[in-house]
Amino acid sequence: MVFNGLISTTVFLPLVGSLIIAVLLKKNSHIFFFARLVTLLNLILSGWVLFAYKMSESSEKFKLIDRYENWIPFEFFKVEYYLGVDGFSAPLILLTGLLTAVAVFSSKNITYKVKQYFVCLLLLETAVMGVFSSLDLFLFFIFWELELIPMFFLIMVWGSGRKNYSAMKFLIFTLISGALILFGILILFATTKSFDMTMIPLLLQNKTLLIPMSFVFFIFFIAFAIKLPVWPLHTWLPDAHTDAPTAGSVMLAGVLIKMAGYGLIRICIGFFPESVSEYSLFIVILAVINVIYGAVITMRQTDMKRLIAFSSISHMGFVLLGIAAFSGSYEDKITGLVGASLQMFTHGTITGLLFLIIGYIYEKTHTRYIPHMGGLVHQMPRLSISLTIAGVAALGLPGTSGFISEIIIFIGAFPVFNFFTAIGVFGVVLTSGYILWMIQRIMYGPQLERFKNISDASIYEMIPVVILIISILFVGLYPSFITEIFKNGIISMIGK
Amino acid sequence: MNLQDLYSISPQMCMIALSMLLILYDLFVGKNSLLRPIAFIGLFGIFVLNLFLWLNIDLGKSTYSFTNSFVLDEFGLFFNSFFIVAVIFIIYISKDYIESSKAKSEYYSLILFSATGMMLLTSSIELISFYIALELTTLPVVALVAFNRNNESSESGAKFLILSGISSAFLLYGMVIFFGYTGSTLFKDIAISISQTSILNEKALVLGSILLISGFAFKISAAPFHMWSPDVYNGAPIPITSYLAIASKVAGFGIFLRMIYSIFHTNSILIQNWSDILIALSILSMFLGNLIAIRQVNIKRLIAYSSISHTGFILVGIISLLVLISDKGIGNSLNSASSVIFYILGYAITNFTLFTTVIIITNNIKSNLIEDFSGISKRSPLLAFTLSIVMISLIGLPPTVGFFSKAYIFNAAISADLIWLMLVGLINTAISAYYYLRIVKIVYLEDPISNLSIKITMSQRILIIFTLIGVLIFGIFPRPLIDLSYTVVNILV
Repeated sequence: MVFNGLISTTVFLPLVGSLIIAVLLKKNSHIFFFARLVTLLNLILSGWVLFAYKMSESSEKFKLIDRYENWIPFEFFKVEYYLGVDGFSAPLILLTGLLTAVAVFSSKNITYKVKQYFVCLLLLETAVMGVFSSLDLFLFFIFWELELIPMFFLIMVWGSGRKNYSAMKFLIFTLISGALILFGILILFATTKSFDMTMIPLLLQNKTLLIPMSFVFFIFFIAFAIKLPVWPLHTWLPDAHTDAPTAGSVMLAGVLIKMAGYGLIRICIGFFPESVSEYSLFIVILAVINVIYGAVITMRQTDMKRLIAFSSISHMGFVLLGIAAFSGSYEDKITGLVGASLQMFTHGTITGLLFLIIGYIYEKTHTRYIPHMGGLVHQMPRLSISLTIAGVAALGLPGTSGFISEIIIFIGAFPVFNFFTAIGVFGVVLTSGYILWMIQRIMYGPQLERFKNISDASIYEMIPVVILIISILFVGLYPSFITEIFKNGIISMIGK
Repeated sequence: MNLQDLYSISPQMCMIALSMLLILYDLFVGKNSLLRPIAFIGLFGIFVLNLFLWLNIDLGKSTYSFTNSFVLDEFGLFFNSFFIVAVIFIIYISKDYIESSKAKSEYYSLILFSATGMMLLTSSIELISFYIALELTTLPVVALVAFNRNNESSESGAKFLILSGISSAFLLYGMVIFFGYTGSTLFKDIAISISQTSILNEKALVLGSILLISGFAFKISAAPFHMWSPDVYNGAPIPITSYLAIASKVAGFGIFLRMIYSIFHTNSILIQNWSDILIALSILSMFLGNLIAIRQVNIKRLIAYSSISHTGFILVGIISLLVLISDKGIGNSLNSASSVIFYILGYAITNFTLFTTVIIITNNIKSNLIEDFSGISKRSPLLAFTLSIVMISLIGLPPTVGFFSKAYIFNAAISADLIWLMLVGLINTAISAYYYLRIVKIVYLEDPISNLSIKITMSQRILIIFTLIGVLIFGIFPRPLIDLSYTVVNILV
């Protein structure tokens, strides 16, 4: 038994907070205050995790380990309570803390079932942080499934539009993905007799599984591809994003789909490096389809939220492109994976910001239909400047974090797949097309009569926006701070 | 018969004595209000007695009694305590129902008789006492199913009587074939005879075991022998429905395990035949139960179909156990057997909770239709929350006990190389999510049909919270249950 405590506290603080909200708090104002307090504390804690990781002297792969071996101590079914972080997961935990805080602070206009709303959000935070920090496969799976229920309710209860349909679709896709993961981990367990994620790569060497190794790889790949999402399994995402409440969209785009990217790198690459290299052509083709298809579909969207949702598909294609670079030389591998993980981080902050701003705009204009909008810059200068910054970050303008992650991916992938990377780069052009066109249609142009009396975002509402903008610019201007951490994690994962 | 014999079935004897006492008390004293307390005190006493026996037996050693007809071991004692707890629970939740009934003492004593049958059943190791115990289990339930004396209830009673008669006949035929070939009714003699090479490949044994399996499949309501269960579940008074869904089904699995481990493991050909047949039953039960459950509008019928699908899942564990016995020997099947027991425990805990809430709700809204459950969350947040957690546990999602039971049984399937069977199980888990979550949706998201809040008495509230904590705590710390399941099956292997 090893117990550091920091990571457990970070993961379970939101759970404790949600229990307190559910049981003890009655008045709405108290709930609002308490939820903000908890997420803020957790943001500080998750920052501290990153800091402690960086400062830690230990030479172990994983740091800040909390481990209790005897949770279910049977040879036949050995599950440990095993949490820890490495350079790959620590920044993602910070991202989760950041975006949950943003989600909670931005939902000040919730009036319907306030208590349950914040309980769901906080549960979601625990689940996602658990996924990022579990080092036991079964624990990983528990957290993975735990995420499903709060998100399902967030869409179904507080959503809009066809919310029942979208929530059900989200549920079915996620359940299938969960079922595949369970299948995969039990197959692995049957051979290795271990759920320990740090040991499985070693135990798998020179072993034959019950079914061929590449088949197990595809099971995991499909499971994560559903969640990422990868074309043609992406159809749940636009619906879920569009109909979720703003905070739900922020969480969904910001962190939930990062769980899939995390799984792809941690499990698919960590456990089956040979299979990934072998099928990298397949992966890169999917990646390019994702990038181009996502971008082209995005062009045609007229609903703001749907537009950003489809753009996520395109951006997640870049993550896949970085992963496909794994078949190249050692340097390309590292570069590609660092790029992919940085893309996950930056996409989290950028898309979170985009959804947040669009949520604000929707609250004030009561429409998300782009052709009905225009000239909003006259009423809401703060929001339109923020939207412009978020937009240019999404299209990858130098100086913003989006540029850094995309350029690193291209540098990693180009030597391996020149042709496909070149097509992928074309996605960036499409991205600037739809982003700039969207901003132009929403914000600029002549002032419209029906939007005369709407107001700009208040100072309070701008706090989360500004925090996200700062993080985007910080990574854009000083990328080595975070790429070094990712690089440490990636190198320790795939070996020297 | 000597004192040692009586000692070994003393819990069963006490059950009989208790039910006699209740009838006689009603006849001669007639103070109905005291029946419940007497039943509770008596059952609690028997539970303690059973626990005392459990603590005092030598670990890993079985004591035989009544010329090798009954056995005293951890397996039997575990099921004894299970049935005693189940009866306590059922009498506890029957309170509202029994208040309106005239025949109180009969109700209690019939349940006790039936439970005695179950307790004898899981301890019997001889065909005739086994059959008598089985009939003792079934016949009182027939009366209980028809207890309401209205059309629906009587029809269910008649249906149950006829069909269980037929299934008993099947069992009896099967037993006769085994007796004919082996010349003995004792399990251990049969086990030795059927392992001999001269008899190993006899087609008649296959026929006999098919008949036996049909009889078992009826008791555990596995498809295609499930036809009775939706009608009977629906027509019976709801506490009796819970008795059928929990105690009766678990008894079926108990004797199933007992028979496999004390008779059939010796004959590898039979074991293979059994696993082939059971695979068909299991897949059919899972798909049929889940797919028909989607269309149900009545909560009792939905529970019936859901319990059919759970039978399919438990059969996955039994199949993996059979495969392991035939491939790797009996010693390696311990894990699979423990996964069956663990699933049974998880299933029982979840269903206790389910029935507690459903009984309170249906008593209040006077309807069994699921659509009338709409907006329960506004009328009683506790019931709505409990129902949702139960549904999550029935699907098999964390953090509930249902999650670990499913994962554990799937792990057993993988360990027996039954990968595709596990895939079928996973597909069915995904299908079942649809109708279970529909209930959650109706309970939480639809407008209530009335704004009256549902009254929950203090004792009901305690029971709900108690069982709910069980569902959640074993979903986070399943270790005590897994420990228990290992202890229970260790003696068999």
